Order: sequence, then structure tokens, then C-alpha cells
Amino acid sequence: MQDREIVQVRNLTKKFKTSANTDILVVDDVSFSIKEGGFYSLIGPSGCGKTTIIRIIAGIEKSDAGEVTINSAGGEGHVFSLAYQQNDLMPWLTVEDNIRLGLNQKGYDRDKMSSVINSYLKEVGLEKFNKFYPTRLSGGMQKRVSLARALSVNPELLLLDEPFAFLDFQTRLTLHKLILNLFMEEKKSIFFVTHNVPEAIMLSEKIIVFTARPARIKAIVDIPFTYPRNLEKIRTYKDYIDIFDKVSELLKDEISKSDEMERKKMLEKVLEHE
Amino acid sequence: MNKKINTIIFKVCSPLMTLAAWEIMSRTGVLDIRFFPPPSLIFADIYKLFAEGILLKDIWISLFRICCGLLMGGLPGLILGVLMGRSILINKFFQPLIALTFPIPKLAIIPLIILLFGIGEFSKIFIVAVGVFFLIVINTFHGVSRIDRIYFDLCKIYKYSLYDRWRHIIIPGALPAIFNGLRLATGTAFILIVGSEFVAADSGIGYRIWVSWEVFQIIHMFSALFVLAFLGWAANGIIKILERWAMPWKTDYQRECEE
Repeated sequence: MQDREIVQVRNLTKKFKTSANTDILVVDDVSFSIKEGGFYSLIGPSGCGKTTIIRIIAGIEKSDAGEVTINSAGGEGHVFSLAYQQNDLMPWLTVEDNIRLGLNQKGYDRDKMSSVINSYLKEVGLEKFNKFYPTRLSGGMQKRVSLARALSVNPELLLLDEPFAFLDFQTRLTLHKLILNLFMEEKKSIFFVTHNVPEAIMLSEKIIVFTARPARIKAIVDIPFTYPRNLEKIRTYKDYIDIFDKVSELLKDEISKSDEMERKKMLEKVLEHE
Repeated sequence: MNKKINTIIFKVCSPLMTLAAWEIMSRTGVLDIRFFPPPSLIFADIYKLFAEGILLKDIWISLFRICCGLLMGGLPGLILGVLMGRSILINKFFQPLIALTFPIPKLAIIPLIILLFGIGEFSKIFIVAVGVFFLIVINTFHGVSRIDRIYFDLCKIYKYSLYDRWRHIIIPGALPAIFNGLRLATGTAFILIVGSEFVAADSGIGYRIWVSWEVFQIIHMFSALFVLAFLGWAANGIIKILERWAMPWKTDYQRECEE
């Protein structure tokens, strides 16, 4: 059971069309798999195609070649849910209605519905905020609601696309703890996209390091720390520094390459207009 | 709370003080009393006109025309705007037509409309409807097409039903822009109804202003203008109340920014 692979990605390739009608290769022949009950991080320079990969897995976008195989355990039907970097709550719906909308397909009756909503709000520590509109909550609280919504549909795999990128350090740490708690209690598989090295080491058991665009797998790094982890103390764990250096070293060239590419692109754009 | 009282005081005081200054200037001869009768006389005249039943009839007929025009132009505008926002093909077809016809000042087509429909009630409602239609179409289209695509991703991830998608994403997402359109459209409706009542009517606020000027009853003209100002202010207030009711999620700060 522990060795079931919930997602298998084989030779995934994705191109985007530019305005000049040329193809840009975004994801190039990527293969990996996610084990059930695993916490995997995907790390790479910004703009490398991380989000594209997670969107293809989630079924929002189509790939140009290769395939994504989902091995669902069956049951309630929701294989994924995704929490985003941006604020992904509907500002016109209250906290509980945001969650309810995702649950409408489940056919719960009234009582079951509200008990499910309340239990997940409780899990993220927002049980008293069910009638609030999202704009009245802080950024960190909004992320908690997004997480509650993602969990409420009882997905087998939680896809997280840099959900904490815009939060301050302390809020982020609190949410890291929350995520790890959820991971251990709910026994979810988690696939986490980030460009933050310490974050990836803190949370995950495997880090898949990607190259600059087009995204290819550069290395897969195992994190030997067991759960539960003490996040405040994680920097003092044996091997932390070594792992940090290793991942940073792997990323270093890719980040400068991506930076170079970005500048070239900007320059071309400006010259094109002149 | 203090801030609230403050704004109310200003809202009441600044018009009152302006009226008082006008009153004094008219009474002391700084303003020519033939052209600028003092506000106290204007209010007395409004009271008199109301008592005679003339003004109420004018208000009623103008408001009736405005409301009919808002419905007649607003509903098709709403429907076409939503369709354009949801379908690239429909958008591509109608966008150039709107771009070409929208800049025509609506008052310029009054003669054409009279030619087509005569000078009856329908012509005046129709001219309002034309002006309203454009503003609602354009604003609704922008509202629908600029809904953050992240919400449509959510539709796929959480498998929202078609009903939920319209009821909880597209409609509320477009609502702020639609209300913007409604506010602009109502303002335009007032301009157009007065304009068309100048030209071809025997009733209505615009007719009252025009006929008072023709027979040099300046004070009636001012009375009608005052009533018009009040009606515009009240219409705006009603829209604001509707907005509060339709979009309870907006914070007071967001509302202030939009005003």
C-alpha cells in the first residue's frame, strides 16, 4: 500500500505559442512519480515551468506530449485539489460558502454539509470565522481558508502551488507547521511547488530540482529527516547545511541562466517595439 | 463615529451655505434677480407648482420614460454584454460595430428617431434606451471578461456545476462593473430625456424647463432644474442602496474608493 504511486508523469512535454507564433518549449521530457503518502517538493528558478507542470497534473492544462497517469484509490472522486500562490478565494462568498461551493457536488444534506465545513475550519484554526468575507481576513488567514477548502473535498493528493510565497516569515512558519500537522494527521500525499530552498527542506521528504526553462529534472534530493519535525530547530539538524548547500548549488547555475533569459526576453520585446 | 458625523455635516452644510450665499447675493442685487431669483422664492415656487399638480405630472412622466428606457436598453445590453464576455466569436462580431456606433452623440440621432417612430412616447423612451444600451453592454462585457481566470481553474478542480459557475462566479464577478454601467447609464438617461423633451414633447421635466424659458418664466425654469438635481441625486442614492444589497461583501473602504 505504501508503495502505490499516486501520480506517474512520463515524458511530459509542453510548448507555449508566443505572439510571434513561434513555439517556446516550457516543459521538456519530464518523468517522475509521486508515492502515496509522500511529501514531494518541486523546486526551480521562477518562470521555469513549475506552475505549468502542476496545472497539467491537476488537469487544468493539456500536455503536448507524454502522459500523466493517475492511480486513484477510488472512493469519493476527488483526486486533487489545488491551493494557489495568489488569493484564490471568491471575495463575494463568505468563508463557509467558499468551502461549500467545492462540496456541492458531494450531495451532502444540510447537517452533514455544515459539519464537514466546520470540522475543516476547525482544523485550520478558523472555526469562529465562518461568516466572514475573505477581504476581512489577513493574508495568512485567507491561505488557511484555501487549505481548508482544498482539504474539505477529501482529495488523495494535495497540490500546492507556492501557497505561502507572499506571506511574511512568521505567518509562513505557522502555516508550515499547520501543513505538516495536516500531512501527518490526514495522511495526505502532498505535492508542493516552491522556489524557496529552506521551505522545501523543512517540509518535504523528496525535492525534485528543475532546470531553467525549459523545465527538465536536474536532480532528485532525498531529505532524511523523519516526521514530526521541529521546524524552529531544523537548521540545527545534522545534514541540514549539507542538503541546503547541495540544493543551492544545483539551483545556482539555473537561476543565473533563468535570469539571463528573462533579461534577453525583455530586451527583445523592447527592440521589437522600436 | 465622529468621522461619520463629520461627513454628514459637510454633506448638509456645503449645499446649504451655497444656497445662503446665493440668497444674499440675489437679495442685495449682486446677482440680477430677473435671471437669478433667490432660492427661497424658488422653493416657494416648487411648492406652488406641486400644489397645482403640474410638477408632479412632469416628474412622473419623465421618470416613467427614464425607467422604460433603462429597461429597454439595459436588458438587451446586459444579455449581449454577458454573451460577448463569454464567447470570443460573438465578441469579435459585435466589438467593431460598437466601436463605430458608440461615439455618435446620442442626441444627434433624435431627428432620425423622430423620422422613424414619430414624436410619440416611444421615440423618447427609445433614445434613452439607445444611450443606456451602450453603457451597459460595454461595462458588462468588461466585467465578465475580466473575471480572474483563477476562478475558472477552480471550476475544473472542484467540478462546480454549470449553475454554480454562473450563480457564484460569473454573475458576482461581473456585478461591480455592471453597477458601474448602471450608474453611468442612469446619468446618461437623465441627459437624454431632458434633451429629447426639449425637442419633441408636451410634458416632462425637460419640456417644463424649455417652455418656461420660452415664455420667460425664469423662476419655473429654476424650479424644474432644482427638481432635476434632486431626482439625479435620489437616483444615485437608490443605486447605492441596491449595490449594498447586491454586493454585501464589499468593505466600506472599497466603496469609498469607487465613488
